[in-house]
Formats: sequence, structure tokens, C-alpha cells
Amino acid sequence: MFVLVTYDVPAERTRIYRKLLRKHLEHIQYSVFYGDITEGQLVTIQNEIHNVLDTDDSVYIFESNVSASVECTVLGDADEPGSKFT
Amino acid sequence: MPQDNHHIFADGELSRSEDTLRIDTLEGETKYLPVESVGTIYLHGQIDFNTRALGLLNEHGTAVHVFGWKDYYKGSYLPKRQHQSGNTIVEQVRAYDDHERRMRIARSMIEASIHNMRANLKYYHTRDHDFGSEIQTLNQQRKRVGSVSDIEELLGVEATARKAYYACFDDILRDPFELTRREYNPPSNEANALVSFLNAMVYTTCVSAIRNTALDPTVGYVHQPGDRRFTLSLDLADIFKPILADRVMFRVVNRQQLGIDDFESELEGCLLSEDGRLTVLEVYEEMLDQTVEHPRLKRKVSYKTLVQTDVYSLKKHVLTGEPYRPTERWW
Repeated sequence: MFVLVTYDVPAERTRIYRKLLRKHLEHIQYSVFYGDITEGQLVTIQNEIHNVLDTDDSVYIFESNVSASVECTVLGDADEPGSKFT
Repeated sequence: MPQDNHHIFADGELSRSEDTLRIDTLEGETKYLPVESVGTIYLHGQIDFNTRALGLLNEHGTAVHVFGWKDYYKGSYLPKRQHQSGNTIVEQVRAYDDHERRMRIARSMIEASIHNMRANLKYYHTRDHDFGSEIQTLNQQRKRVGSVSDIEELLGVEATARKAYYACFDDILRDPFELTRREYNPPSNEANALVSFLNAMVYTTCVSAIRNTALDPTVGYVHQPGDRRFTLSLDLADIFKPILADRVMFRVVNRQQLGIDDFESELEGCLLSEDGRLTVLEVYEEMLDQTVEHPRLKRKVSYKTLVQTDVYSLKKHVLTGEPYRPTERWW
């Protein structure tokens, strides 16, 4: 499934979320992560986020069951997300 | 659900960083791979890595296939076995040792392989090619499979079928590609180079799939278990070559995504250039992700899942005697 996660947290706490999300998703911008993952993986991510949430933190999770139904346009100097090649 | 592959063409370093994989290329780029979502990693470039990185791959059960000079398959780093079952191995070897059981498995593998070759020919037969006689040969060979009594004879049947099959490639492939004879070590021309490279990819796909079960990859049924190679992967690769490798080959050549200048001739051999390999792999990965409605599972599954279910089916057969159903193109 398609998942997009964004967060807005105090500067000193960003690394907590970055580290957590990088394990599962592709880091596409400073606080934006994308991934084509399974429902189980999403539950894991949500649980992990719950464990670290603090009062000033906010996290958005956008999801769609069919990743093929999400259209993505990239403008400017960036790669298409989800590349299997480096 | 099988996880995605990731191919690293760049030269650089693969390391562990913040609990995930990090790639630093020589061009100064840094990229993080989501270790939880990557199933298999293919190294095509010159990559440095250390035991910390291997430890992380090990923890997540991620296999690494290494390709060396000119993308010749060098070997694999397979993580510590996650699936261990003495029972499975004992049964797998018993099935190998029992002539009747071995023949039954081997016959169904060869039948599936011939069926899949025939499916490719039939497809082109209906599209302004005339492969009537070759399809006839494949039909005959497939029928003969039921009556052979030993492995040598079976391999003979397979060889005859494959020869008739490869003979059609020249006709299917758009000029100037030509495959008059299948030659390897090293491949003698562009078409042979392409077949060799794609077959190696199918082989590694099977290695990864077998690794997800407790089956021992060195004990195969059609191929004689020798040293230094995973014979079970060779057996399975034969079933999937027509579905995965050959279709990709026809596609990249006939849609002119690949040209003669994507190859380099050296030392009496001919091999794909780096750009060429990238093009081929992009199409190969697309093919693995392509889905088809599965009649027994009643849902859409990717071709990559088909490889996995084939292995599961074999394991189930070895353990419980449930019929082994190798993948025969039904779509």
C-alpha cells in the first residue's frame, strides 16, 4: 500500500523520527517519507511512533490501499520516489 | 509478499547507519535504503562494505547477490538461515534418493519448462511468425517426458525441446540481433550475452526464493547435485526462464530499448555495457512486479510471488506428498 508520512516536531527531536522512519520508508524531503509497504509494516510504524510521541510532536500519515492509484508528479531537482536502482 | 529488490550500480560504500543501510557513492551522493522493505540487494558496481553492514543484513534476512567483472555472477551473501528444519532436509534428500519420487518431481519440472517455452512460441505464432513445426516438436517432447525412465533420457528430451525453442529466437528477435546458436562462456554475440545475463538474474531470483524456505538449494532433482552450485535453483530457473528472461529479452530487443551499441566485444566474447544492463534490469524488475490473477489463490499475484509459491509447492510436496504444481503459464 502507498504511505506518505510527514512530521513537525521540535528541532532536537527530528532525528528520533528520521531514524525511525528511514528503516521502513524512503526519505524524500526533510520531514517527508514515502513508501510502498504492507499493512503490517504500517502498523509497526504506527506503534513505533506512538512509543516516541511527545506533547509538541505531530505526525501525519496518508495512506492508500492501492499504491498504483496514487499519481505522483515531481518538479524541480529531485528523483522519482521508489527507484530500485542506485 | 516478497519484498523489493534493489540494484546498486554505483561504486561506493555500503554501511550501517542509524539502524538502516546507507550507500555513499564515489560521486558524493548519500542514500538510505529502508532495510525493513528491501528483500534482496544486487551489487553490480564496486562496493566496499564491512561486517557491521553484513550484520544488519543478517538481522533482516536480506540476501546480497554479487556481480563481478562485466556483471558475471560471482556469488551471494546469504544471511544466517531463518528457516531451519532438519525434517525438511531429510525429506528433500529422501525424495532425491528414491528414484521414482525423484523422477516424478523432475518430470513435472521439465513438463512445466517445455510448456512455458511452448507458450512463448504460441504467442509469436499467432503474431505473424510461423512456428508450427517447432510447437509440434515441443508437444512431442512434452509427451515423451511421461515415458522416460531415467534422468539422462529426461535431460535428452529437455535438450531437444530447448534446441527447437532457441532455434525460433532468431526469427523473433528484430534484426540485427541474431541467435543462431546458444553459446556461453563467454557469450559469442549480443543475443547470447543477453540470454546469459537474464538467465543469471532468474537464477538469483530462485536462490532468494529458496532461501525463504528450509529447503537446501544444493539438492536438485533434474540437475545432478554437484559441487559449487545451487542445483535446485538451476532446476527452478529452467521453469521460469521462458516466463521471465526470454520475454524480457524479446521486449527490450523488439521495442528497440536496446541496440547493438549497448554491447561491448572484448576477448572473443560479447557482453552488455553498463547502460545496457541498467535498461535490461529495469524491464526485468517490471516483469517481476507484473501481476496475474491466480486461480487457486484467488487473488492477483506478481511473477515474483509465483517463483515463491513454486518453491512452497515443492516443499509441501516433499514434506506431505501433496502434488507438486510447478508454474505452467495459464494466462
